[in-house]
Amino acid sequence: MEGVFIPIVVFLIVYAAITFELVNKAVAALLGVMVLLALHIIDEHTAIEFIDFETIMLLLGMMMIVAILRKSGFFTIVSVKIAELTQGSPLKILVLFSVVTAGLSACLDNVTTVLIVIPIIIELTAGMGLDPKVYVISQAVISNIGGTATLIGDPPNIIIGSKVGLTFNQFIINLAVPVVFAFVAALFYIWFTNKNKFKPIDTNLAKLFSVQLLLEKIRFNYLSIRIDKIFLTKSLACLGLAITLFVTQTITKLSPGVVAVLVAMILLVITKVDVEHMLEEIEWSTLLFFTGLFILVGVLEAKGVIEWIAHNVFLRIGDNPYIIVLVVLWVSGIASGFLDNIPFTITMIPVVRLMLEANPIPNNILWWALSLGACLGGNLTMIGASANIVSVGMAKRFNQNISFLEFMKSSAVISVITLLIASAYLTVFLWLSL
Amino acid sequence: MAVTVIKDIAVDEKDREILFKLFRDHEDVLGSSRIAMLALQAFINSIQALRCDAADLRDLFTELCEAIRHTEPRIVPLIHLIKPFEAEMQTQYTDDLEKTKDEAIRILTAKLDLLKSKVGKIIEHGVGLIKDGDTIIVHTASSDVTKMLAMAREVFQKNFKIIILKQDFVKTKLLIKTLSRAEVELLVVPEYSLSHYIEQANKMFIGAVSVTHDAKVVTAIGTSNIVSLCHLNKIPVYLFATSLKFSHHSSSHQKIHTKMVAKSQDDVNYTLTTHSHDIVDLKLIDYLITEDGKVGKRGMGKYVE
Repeated sequence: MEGVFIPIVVFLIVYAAITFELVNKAVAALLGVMVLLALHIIDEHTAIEFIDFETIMLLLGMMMIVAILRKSGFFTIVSVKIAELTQGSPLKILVLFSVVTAGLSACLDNVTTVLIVIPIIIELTAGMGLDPKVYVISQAVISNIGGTATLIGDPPNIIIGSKVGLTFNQFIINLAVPVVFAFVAALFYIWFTNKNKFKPIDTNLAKLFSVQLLLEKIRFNYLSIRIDKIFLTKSLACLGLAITLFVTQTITKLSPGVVAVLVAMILLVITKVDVEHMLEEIEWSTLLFFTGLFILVGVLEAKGVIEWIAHNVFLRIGDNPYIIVLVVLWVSGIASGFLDNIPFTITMIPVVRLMLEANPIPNNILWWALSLGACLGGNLTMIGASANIVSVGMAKRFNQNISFLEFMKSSAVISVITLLIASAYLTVFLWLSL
Repeated sequence: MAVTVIKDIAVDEKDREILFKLFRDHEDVLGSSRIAMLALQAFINSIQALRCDAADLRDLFTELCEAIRHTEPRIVPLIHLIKPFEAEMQTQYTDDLEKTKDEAIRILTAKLDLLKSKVGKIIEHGVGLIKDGDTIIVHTASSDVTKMLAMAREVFQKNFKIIILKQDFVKTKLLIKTLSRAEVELLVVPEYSLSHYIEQANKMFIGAVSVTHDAKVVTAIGTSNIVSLCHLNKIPVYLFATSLKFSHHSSSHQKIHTKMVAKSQDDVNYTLTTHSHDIVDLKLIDYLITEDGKVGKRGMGKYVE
């Protein structure tokens, strides 16, 4: 391992800057790359080779599809309809919104989902005199659980899917079961610990009456925009096309990144949206952040640092496959709760590869352990996942301040419960596979 | 199968505040006739969803009607419909829960239809008042006045211009959107800038929450100044109000909501007091439009009395 000191120091500084939010994530990652380039640790041609363009394409394509879908009013229509379906029943609000949040998070992205759902759920619950905080925390947590089920649901899955070559179907087939159990367990825990807040209201005429007026207000505030039905139909048809192409990946041989960008381009053409305006909605800083991280981790890999970590940390745990799987799951889970799970996943992928070389574990179980850990661990703290931070920020805008500890009090227990469910699932899966 | 239901009758102070705020929010945006319609429909829907014993129904209805009668401000058209509902229900309570609920729904539906018909007639009369070439000042119009203006353009193809006095965007949003969609020529100006445009206008339309026994009109906040300015400039002010909006009480009994908020700006601390509605003297109104048609100054007394 020659010339590893500078890349390691640069990587650690970048990681610290990202974790403690000292500078913008994208700036931190790209500045790290620039330092390595300036010090001739790598040249720009090698740097470019480290970028996983499949991941970048998938993210870019999905961001475009989501931006156009958001413009169509689809998310708002779904959320308002769900609010109407609940008829103000606190338990129905929790369950129905959670189903929608989990579903949308699995098919699209968590942050967009909570951005739409949280204002409506706060307006509904605060307007009824309920405590909106329980509902805000529940939706953040559920969005992370829902996003775990698919390749496109959460950034760690996008990275794992693209870099390892796992398909959309493989994700659903292997992760849907633990995600459904985790979803039910999380809902049960939220209900059980807040039982007195979920009393039915259908015996109180005045409350029923208030809810009717409140639903009318929500309809007026959120649905008064004129929905362009043709635009909405085109957007939904393209989303359907994207999901179909993801599902039939083994037949079409089209990678998820190609599918996402292809469908996004079709959408741009047929909906005739203002491209310049739409491009402003793309989270360019996230894409640059990914690009920078791929290069930084690529350098560490090229210099043998990752191999060293794998041999001296993870491969020392022995060759018992059950222990290896559970260590990857729990280390990923705990780390993702306190660190950004995106750089963590990018760093862990070459480590897991080396672990698999030393101890082949069938059916990609180690990758599922990494995915479940990185996604479900995000619920450990408020800073563990982007959806948590966005949800708490949205709540603050509606004068609902949720402290770090308040969030963690509910979310950490749910995170541990869901990681235990994942442990049980992976253990059984491994036992059946060996 | 008998269902045991936990009794939850009393409307506590918190629920009452929530309810009053909802009424105010809707009234601000849609006007009192529309909120009365929404409330009647909400009452019907709530009865359908209600689970209780037949013996509790009377108390539940009384509690809700009592809360509706005391909103801030009083929604007079709704009160005028709820009072007879309560009276009619007195003979309808039986041991059969579903039968009593059906009867309550039937009475409320009749009240809703009555209100709709009165509002419909006002819209008809209002459309007739709009002439080609008119420039009409509109200040926080109710949904009925908004509908009337849109209809005059879309159905009757009248060419007129509207000066919308914008205050809070939420209150003006519906008006701007509906009239833009109807392709009515619009000029949106801040309400404090009306003096620059007053010479262009030849009519002003306003709505009301109520017209009181002491000849005052309870209207949206900001209306008082605008009406005074129009009056000074001899621009006729048209007030759209169904006969249900005439209150038997004086303006001091309309329960206009008052809010006092402690403010701190720079190094100055003060308490800001705001009211939810304005009070305008009926003398400043030139024409009253009710379901019976256009009424001049002389005829207004009959309605007030």
